[in-house]
Amino acid sequence: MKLSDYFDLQTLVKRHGNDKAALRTFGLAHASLFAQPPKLLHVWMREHIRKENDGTTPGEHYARPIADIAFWSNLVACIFGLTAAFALLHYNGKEPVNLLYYLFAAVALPLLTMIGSVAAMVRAMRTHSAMVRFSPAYWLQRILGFLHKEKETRSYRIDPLLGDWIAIRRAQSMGVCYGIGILAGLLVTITLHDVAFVWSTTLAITPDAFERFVKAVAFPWRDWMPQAVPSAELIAQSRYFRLGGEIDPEMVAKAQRLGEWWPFLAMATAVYTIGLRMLLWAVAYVGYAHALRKAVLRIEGVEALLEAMREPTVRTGAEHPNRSVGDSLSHREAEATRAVLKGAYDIVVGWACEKEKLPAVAESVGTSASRYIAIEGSETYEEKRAELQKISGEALFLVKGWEPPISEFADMLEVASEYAEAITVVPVGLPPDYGIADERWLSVWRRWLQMQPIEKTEVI
Amino acid sequence: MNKAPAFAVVGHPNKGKSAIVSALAMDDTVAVSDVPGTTKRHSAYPFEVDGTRLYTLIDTPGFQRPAEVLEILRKEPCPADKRFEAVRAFVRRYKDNPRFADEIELLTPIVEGAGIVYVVDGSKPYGSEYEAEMEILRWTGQPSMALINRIDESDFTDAWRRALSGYFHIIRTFDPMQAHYTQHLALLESMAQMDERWTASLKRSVESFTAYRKRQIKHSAETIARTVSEALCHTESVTIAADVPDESQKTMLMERYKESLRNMEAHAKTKIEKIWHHSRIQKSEDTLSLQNDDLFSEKSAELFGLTRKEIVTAGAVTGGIGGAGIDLLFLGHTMFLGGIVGAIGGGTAAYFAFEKLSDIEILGRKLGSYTMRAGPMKSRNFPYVLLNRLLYHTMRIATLSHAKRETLHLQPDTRFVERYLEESDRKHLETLHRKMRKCDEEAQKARLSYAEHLKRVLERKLLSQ
Ligand SMILES: Nc1nc2c(ncn2[C@@H]2O[C@H](COP(=O)(O)OP(=O)(O)OP(=O)(O)O)[C@@H](O)[C@H]2O)c(=O)[nH]1
Ligand SMILES: [Mg+2]
Repeated sequence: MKLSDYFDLQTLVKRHGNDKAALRTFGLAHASLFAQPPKLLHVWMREHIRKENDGTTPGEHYARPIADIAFWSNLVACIFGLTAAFALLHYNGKEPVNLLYYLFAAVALPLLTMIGSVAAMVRAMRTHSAMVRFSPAYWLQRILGFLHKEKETRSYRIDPLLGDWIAIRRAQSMGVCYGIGILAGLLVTITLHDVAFVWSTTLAITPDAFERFVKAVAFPWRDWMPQAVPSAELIAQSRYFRLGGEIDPEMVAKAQRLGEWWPFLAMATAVYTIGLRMLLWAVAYVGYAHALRKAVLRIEGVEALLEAMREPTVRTGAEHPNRSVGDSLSHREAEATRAVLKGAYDIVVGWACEKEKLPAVAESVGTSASRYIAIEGSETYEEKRAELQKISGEALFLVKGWEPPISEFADMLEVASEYAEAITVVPVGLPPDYGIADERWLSVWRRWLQMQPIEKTEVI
Repeated sequence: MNKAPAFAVVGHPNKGKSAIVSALAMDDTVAVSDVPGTTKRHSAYPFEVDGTRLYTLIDTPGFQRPAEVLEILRKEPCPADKRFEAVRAFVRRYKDNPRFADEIELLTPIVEGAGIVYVVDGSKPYGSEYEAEMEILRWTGQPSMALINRIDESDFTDAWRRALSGYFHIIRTFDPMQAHYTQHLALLESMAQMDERWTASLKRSVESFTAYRKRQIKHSAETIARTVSEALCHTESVTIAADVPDESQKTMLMERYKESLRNMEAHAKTKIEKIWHHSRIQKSEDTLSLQNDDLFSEKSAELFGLTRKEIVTAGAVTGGIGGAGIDLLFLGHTMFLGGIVGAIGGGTAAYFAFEKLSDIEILGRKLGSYTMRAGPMKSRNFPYVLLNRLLYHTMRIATLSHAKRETLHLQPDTRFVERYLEESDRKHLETLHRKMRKCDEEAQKARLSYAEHLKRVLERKLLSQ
C-alpha cells in the first residue's frame, strides 16, 4: 500500500461501501485473502479506482505535495549541511580549525537529535497526542487542505499515528541528507583548501583523555581502516591554545600533519551522522508501513467494508417488498346498523354447533325459539343447504363469535334469506358460558356483514 | 442440491398466519390485523444467504369455502395416489373463478411443492368445521406440520392436539408475538423434520441465522459504544466578536449542544432498529433529559481559530525547533533538548503577539475573536444515563416481534443498567467511561473494549431466551 492508496480508499469506501451484495461477491471471489485485510483492500481498490484525465488517482494527486515537501526539505537539509560544513571548516590560514566544532555539528548534534527521534518513535508506538492540533497529522492535513480545494479531497483525513510516522520518517531522511551535505562539504573543503585541524578546549582535558575519546569514537572502523584513526602523536600535536593570539611555531612547522585529521572526521560523519541515521530511517520506514496498514484499517467504514466481504449476506423479508399484501377492512369501517335482540324467534339456527347444546346457548344470550336446527361443521355443502330450507319466519343465527366469518357462512345466509322473513346473527362467546360475544368480536362480524350484500340480515 | 424448500403458512382467517410469517421473516411490513381476510394474495418471504435461497415462507389468505372445495374434490372417486393431481386440477380449473379466489391463492404454492404449516389458534375451542380444510390439505399429500398459536389467554391446546394429530405428525406451539430466538430456532428444526430432502437446507439456515443474530448483537454493541464515546467528547462552539458573550448566546449554544446530544441518541436508536429490521416502529418515549447544571461551557479567545494556549504552544514548538535544529522541524513531539530555551522564547513571544495580533483589524474585522464552547460533558452520570437508555432500547427492540403493530411504549427505568448488569460489568464499564472521556487514542481503544464487553452482555441475554 502507498500513501495515495490510503487517501483513495477513503473515497472508495464512501462510494462503494454500501453495496453489500457487490462487496460480498468480491469477498467470495477472494476468500483466500481474508486473513490479510490490507491486501484484500488493495485488490478491491484496484478494481474500483478511477484515474483522472492526467492518469493519476485523486489520492495520488492529493499526496503529491507530501512528496514535494519531502524533496524540498531534503534539499534544504542537504544545503544546510553543506553550508554548515563550509562555515565550520572556514580556514583563513591564520587560525586553525577547531575540530570539536565540527564534531559537535556533524556528530554530537545529530546524535542528540537521533535520541529525540527514537523518543518520538517510542512515543508514537505507545500513545497519540491528546493535543490533536499539535500532531503532525493535523498540520499536514491543514497544509494539504490549503493546497487542495477540490471537494472530494478536502474530506480526506490523516490518521494521527500515520501523521507521526510520516514526520518521523521525513526527519530521518532529512537527517541523512544533512549528513551527506556535511560530508560533501568536508570533502570539498579539504580538496580545495589545506585545513589545519586542531582541538581546543578550556576544560582540563589531557591529550591522553582526548585520545581515549577519539579511539572510542573510531571504534566502529578502527580495525579495518586504521588510517582513519588519529595517532596518539597527532592528537598530542594538535592541541591548541590561543594564548596571545600567537600560534605555536612548532605547530606551524607540523601544519602539514594537522590535515591528517580529515579521514577520521569523514568516517565519523559517515558512520554516525549518515550510517546511524540510515538505520533509523529504515526503522522509521518499517514503523511508517505499519502505521499505514493500521491507518487503512481505521478509515471510517473500512471495518464494515471488510465485514461485508467476509460475512455472508443474509436477506430475509418480502420477496416483493412493495406489493400491497393486505387490504384492510378497518379503513372502511362505518356505523353498521345493529339488530335488537328479541326474546323469542321462530327458529334458532346453530352454525357449526351441536344440536343438543343449542337451547342452552340461546338461553345464555337471553332468547329462545320454538324450533332449533344445527348446521354441523362437518356436514357437506349440500347437506347444509338442505337443512337451511327448513327455515321460516324470523330466524336467529347463533355463530361462534371468536371464529371469523367466512364466505361459506355468507353463502348459507344467502340461502337462508330466501326462506326467512328476517335474520338476526348473534355471535356468542366462548364455552362453557357462551353469552353474547365480546364487543371486539361483534364489531368484526358487523363490519363483515356490512360488506356482504345479503338482504334481511343484521348482526346484533 | 435439492431445490430450496418453501412453506405455505395456511389456515383459517385471522389465526395469526401473517403474524407468524412476519416474525419468522423478521419483516414488519407484513399486513397483520385483527380484520379477518386481511391477506388476499399469497406472497413469498425468502431467506437467502449469499444470494442462495435456503427456504421460503409463503403467507396466504385463509380458507373461505373449504366445505365446498372439498365437495368438488370428492365429487369423483379418487384413489389416494391421485389426490395430489386432483387438487392440482382443481387449482387449474378454478384459477379465474372469484368464488375460490382465496383457496386458489393458498393452494397454488402447495401444488407447486410447498410444505404445509397449518396454523390454528389454541386459545379458541376446536370445531368440526376445521375438518374440511384439514382434509383438503391432507389430499395434497404434501409434507406438513401444525402450529398452535395461542392468540388469547384461554387455553384449548389439548383439544387441538387431539384433533390435529389425526391429520398432522408434527405439532408445535409457536408464539409470534414473542421474538424468542430459541423458539425461532426450534421451529426451523421442526421444519427440517418435515421432509428429509429439506433437512440440509434448513440446517444451514439455522447456522446462518445464529451467525446473523450474533452479528446483529455485535453491531448493536458497537453502535452503543460509539454513541456513548462520541457523546462524551462532543462539543459545540460559536465564535463571537465581542469580549463579553451575552446570556442569550450562551443559552442558544447550550440548546444547540443539548440538541446535538439528543440527535446522537435518536440516531443511534434508529440505527439499532435498523439492525434488528424494525423499520416502522411507532414508539412513544421520553427524550434524553439534560440538566443544565451538568453542562459546562467556557469562553476563550482565539486567533486564527486557535486558542491562546494553542498559539503559545505552537510558538514554543517553533522556538524549540529553532533551538534544536532540523530534526525537530517536523516533529513537534520532542521539544526538549536545546530547544527548551527556544521554546520558552517562542512561547513568550507568541503570548504577547497574541494580544497584539488580536487587536489588529483587517477590513474592519479583528483578527482575534472569542469562542464559546459547550461541552464536553462533565457529568459523571451522563454516560450511565445514555448507556442505560441505549441498552434498554436495544433489549426492547431485539426482543420485539416483527408481528407487533401497536405503539411501543419505551420507558427506560433509570436503574435498568443496575438491574441488568452485574457489579463487575458495571465496574468495568465505569473504568472505560473514564478512559473514553479523554477523547484520545486510548479512548478509541477503550471504546472498542467497551463494545466488546457490551456484546458479551447482550449475547448472554439475547441468545439464551
Ligand atoms: N396476542 C396475540 N395476538 C396474536 C397472535 N397471533 C396473531 N395475533 C393477532 O391476531 C390478529 C390476526 O393476525 P394475522 O396474522 O393478521 O392473521 P392471519 O391469519 O394472517 O389473518 P388473515 O390474513 O386475515 O387470514 C392480529 O391482530 C394479530 O395481532 C398471538 O400469538 N398473540
Ligand atoms: Mg394474513
